Amino acid sequence: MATHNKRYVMVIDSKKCIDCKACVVACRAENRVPLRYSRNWIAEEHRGEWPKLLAAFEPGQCQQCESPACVRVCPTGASYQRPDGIVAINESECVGCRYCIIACPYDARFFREDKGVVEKCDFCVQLVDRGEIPACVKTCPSKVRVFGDLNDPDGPVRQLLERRRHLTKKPEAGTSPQIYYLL
Amino acid sequence: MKQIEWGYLIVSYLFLGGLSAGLYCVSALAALLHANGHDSAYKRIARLGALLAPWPVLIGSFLLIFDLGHWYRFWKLFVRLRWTSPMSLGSWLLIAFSVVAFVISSPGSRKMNAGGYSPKSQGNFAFCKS
Repeated sequence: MATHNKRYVMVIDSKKCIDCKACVVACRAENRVPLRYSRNWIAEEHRGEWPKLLAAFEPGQCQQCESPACVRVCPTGASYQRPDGIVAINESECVGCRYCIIACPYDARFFREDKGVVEKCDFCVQLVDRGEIPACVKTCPSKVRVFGDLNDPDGPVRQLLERRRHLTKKPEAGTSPQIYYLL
Repeated sequence: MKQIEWGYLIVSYLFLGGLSAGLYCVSALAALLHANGHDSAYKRIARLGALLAPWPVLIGSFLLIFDLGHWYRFWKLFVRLRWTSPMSLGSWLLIAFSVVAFVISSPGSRKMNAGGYSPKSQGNFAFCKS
């Protein structure tokens, strides 16, 4: 039993991404997200001019910020941060004011018209609490995603981050995002 | 950035909220001028403004509630004051303004009775006539 506080983060190696979108499908299935919404996505970037072309794929989702803007602006406390760092939504507390959607610098949230509440990636808390890993991590065929505890010095996340150069998205937003993208 | 589309509910609220605030401010200004010994026309403006001010914002608040994904959960906004949340602050301020505006517009308040005016003897809108 570890004595330190857990801090769950994800490391994404975008270069390995082959744009198969298995993570999007797995997330949809695990979290029962209807077709017109998505908790995660793969951004495509095309650079250069023919014949020197480059296509780059980059998986995106909620960045599980250390100081999340969405939690700050939530009037009811429906959006909250767990002690292990995961930012989640308590659906029964959500009044559907959608302020958090505007506050999020990463556009990670969406409003579910059918349920009248806001939804986003929560690292599959239902799986993490059972000791499993999020559905997108489990399913990724090219092993783009690594999920783990940032505070575990021997964990895979720390090993990767110590060895590889990495960055976070929009650090200037000041929310201290916890999805690390390897360079 | 995700573009949030504000529907007619929010648009109407913005107008009605502004209308209430304007009525209240004009009424307060007129009451101030009246107290400083200006023309008694100010008295009528002060009363009319105070009487009308609470109503547009009341309608506007209901529009805001119906813009929520779960309108019947709106009471959760008033269980606590989270003061880092503009939405929470705003809803409490809206309540505070409405309460103040209603108290001011009630027949017993000083502003309504300024200058010996008695709503009971003349009816609520009697001051508009003269």
